[in-house]
Amino acid sequence: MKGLLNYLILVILVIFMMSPIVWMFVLSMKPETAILGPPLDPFEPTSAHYINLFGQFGFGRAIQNSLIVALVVLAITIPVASLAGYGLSRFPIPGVQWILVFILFCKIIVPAILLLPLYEIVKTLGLLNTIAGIVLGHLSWQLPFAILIMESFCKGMPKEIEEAAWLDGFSRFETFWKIVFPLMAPGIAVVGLFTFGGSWGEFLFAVSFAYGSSLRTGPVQISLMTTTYKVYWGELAASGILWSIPIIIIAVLFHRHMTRGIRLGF
Amino acid sequence: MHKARARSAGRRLEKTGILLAAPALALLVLLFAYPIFFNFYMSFFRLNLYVSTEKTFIGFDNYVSILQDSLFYGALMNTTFFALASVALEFIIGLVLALLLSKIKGIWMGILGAALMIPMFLSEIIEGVVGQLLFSPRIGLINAFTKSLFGVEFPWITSKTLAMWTIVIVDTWKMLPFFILIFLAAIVSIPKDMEEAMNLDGASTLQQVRYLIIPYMLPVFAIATVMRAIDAFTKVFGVVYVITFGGPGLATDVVPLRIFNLALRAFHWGSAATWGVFAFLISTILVAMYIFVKRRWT
Repeated sequence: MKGLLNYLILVILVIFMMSPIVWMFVLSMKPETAILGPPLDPFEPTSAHYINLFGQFGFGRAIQNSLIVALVVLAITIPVASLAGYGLSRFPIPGVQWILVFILFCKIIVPAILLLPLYEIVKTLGLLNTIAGIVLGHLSWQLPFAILIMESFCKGMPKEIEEAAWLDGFSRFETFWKIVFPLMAPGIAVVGLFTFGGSWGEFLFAVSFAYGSSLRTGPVQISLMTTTYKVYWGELAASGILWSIPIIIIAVLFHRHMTRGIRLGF
Repeated sequence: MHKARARSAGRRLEKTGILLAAPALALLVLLFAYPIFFNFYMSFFRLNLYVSTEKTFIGFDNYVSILQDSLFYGALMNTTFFALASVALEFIIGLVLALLLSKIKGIWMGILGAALMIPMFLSEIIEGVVGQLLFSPRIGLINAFTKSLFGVEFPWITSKTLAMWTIVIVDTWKMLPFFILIFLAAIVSIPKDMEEAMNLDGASTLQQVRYLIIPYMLPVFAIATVMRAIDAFTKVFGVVYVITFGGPGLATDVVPLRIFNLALRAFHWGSAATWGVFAFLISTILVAMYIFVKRRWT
């Protein structure tokens, strides 16, 4: 009896979590007139909104921009954070606890205060109207989190294997590439998932550095579909579904690793 | 002799460690230390890029005018309300659900894990779109339901009193999974023999919750809650941008949105930088709070 209640609650919770996304999918297939009519009336499904996304709203470009940004951010975050996580957790650095407090501070800070200074940095480097501003903004968001996850992950790795390799005459860097790096792979995978997902959906820096340009990422493009004069409801829902698909796939395949990452994160 | 070699080996290790962390620290200095300095510096100038690119030194005038500005207190109150209300809702519902779901196993746990991870991992912009589709006065599904069931409609987004609650509800949908997952993990890690001992003593489920589970989970409660509240306070932006853009009036104006508007819509850089300095001071208090809680409970 008690077991049954457990499963009943599970089913209700899963429905509660998924129904907004299911409703978004239903709307994305509804013709404009049906969207504005009574919500539960039957309708002829249409793919018009998805077609409009790629035509009128330039979504192909947005997907391309978002992918480029996410990949560049990944390519910087993963090596930098893994090296730092290993260095900070394994070596006797004086004042390391203060370095960790600084990183924690970077993670907690209100990110909006970085907008003006990052704008100045990008301008000084002559990189206005490139993805550099968005990438720097994303790094400021991802890097502290990634370093802290890698640091606490490295702390939990067995020290003996490295010490044995070291005694066998491996140099510190050989030990890192041949022994430690493979051990870190699960941690790196977790950081990679969070970094990609975060960059894919990030909005503050993307809208600040690429609002009126051809560099618009997906979230910026989506935000433009609710204007004061007209809301493109069908396209809004369709773009929401489109942007959720990679996240849904990642969550279904890797939710166990990600749960672990969330726990490592504090 | 031996000692000297040990010391030089120690120094070599120290150097390797610093070398490994150097790229990260260099990036963080560029991304954070310089910007904080920049905000402090700019906060002493009047600079409105709409008017001119000339900046005038005005001392503490920006500080004085912000401290006298009701926008400042309004945004602070709204942001604090958002953080506290959403975290309180997520905490309570999350705890009850985690306690009720703790016996789930196997494939069902997998289904639950995926279903929880999806909303949590979605973009804040999608969170906003979901909010629009459910609560908009034009096509919102929730009003269609309440109208057909009870014959009432609510001005979810358009009313000054309800708008912030609407954002809190949408955020609860998205971030409730965080608490459920953290609490489930904590419950599972409670030693089985203690549970069995309580069962043998004939303790009821409620007594187990009160005397075993809750005390065991206190550190998790403290750390997870403080972390989520800080995150909610400092990072809220996209969901407000899409659902209300701070309105109606200033009812949902939050600190990050205000700084964004000052810096990149109004181009009041001196003023935006001064808001940045205040946000920096708040961030410092929040960091101290987090470290205090973490030291206290681990």
